[in-house]
Amino acid sequence: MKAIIGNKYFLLIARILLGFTFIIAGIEKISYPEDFATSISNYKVFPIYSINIIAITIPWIELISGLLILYGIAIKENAFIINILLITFIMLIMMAIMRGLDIECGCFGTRYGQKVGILKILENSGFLFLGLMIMFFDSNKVTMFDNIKK
Amino acid sequence: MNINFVLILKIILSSIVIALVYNFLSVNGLNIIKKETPIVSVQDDELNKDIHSVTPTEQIKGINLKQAFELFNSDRVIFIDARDQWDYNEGHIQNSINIPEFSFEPSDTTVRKLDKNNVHVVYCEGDDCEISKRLAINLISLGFSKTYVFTGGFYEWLNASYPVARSNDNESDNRQ
Repeated sequence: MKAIIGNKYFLLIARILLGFTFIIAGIEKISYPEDFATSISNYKVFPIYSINIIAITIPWIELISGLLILYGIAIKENAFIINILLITFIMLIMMAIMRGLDIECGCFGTRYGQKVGILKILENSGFLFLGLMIMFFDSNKVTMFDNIKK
Repeated sequence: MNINFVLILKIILSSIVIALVYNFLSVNGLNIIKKETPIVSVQDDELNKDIHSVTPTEQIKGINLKQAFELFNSDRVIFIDARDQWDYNEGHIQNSINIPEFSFEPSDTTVRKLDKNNVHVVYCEGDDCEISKRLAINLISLGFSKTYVFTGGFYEWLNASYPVARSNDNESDNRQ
């Protein structure tokens, strides 16, 4: 098992997948900050004065971490950041489900109409699995720059 | 597994700085601190005149407990609970209907059945609850200009021992 998940090409694919996902997620939310702020407030977790600051900063953390992990820069550190974000998202979705909130996830902005639900938890858990593998096993042996140098 | 937590902090702080600069320069930038939606209180002596006014308005108007109770005893007034269905089922203002703000759709059957000639009073939990204001904005944008927000909310109503119901109770008056 460790041979598979520790394989440098598996980890490269995981980084590409995770990187692109967070880049797209970040860009969508940066493009429509007010919609994302509404999504955040719908979870009814955060105090009203904090909603906008969260909506402004989180997408950029996603975008920059996604870009850096894609290009193999500070891989473990960015995987850590992404994992923390994913754990937070999973907890928020679980809380929304337990409270019976039929709301937009806000995971990729609000344009795609993705609701909170078990599928969203599974999706985020899958990304979290990739993020944890990268954090524990990646050694930066294979990066996007390898292809550019060739 | 060597993780450089100082580097993590630098990445996060740099991201935050970039985010704030972009927000400042962006046309779609948000206010850093989200403020509560402004609400205009209706004076007691203006309420009767206001509910019969035909002038459309996009302002959110707030009413207090006394005004809400006065409207409760009037005809053609519908109370709307903006909370989620669980909170509504546990207890709501008697004869109110439930339109959860977070799942509001203009095409929803409950919304389409509303009569624009009626007065609608939207409420949620209380003073610091924004969802009633957001639902009121949605209704006003659909042309329901006689929409008010009961700012005291369900708990003020409950504390005043005014009529409440639970979803299992038979509510005799179907005002819809």
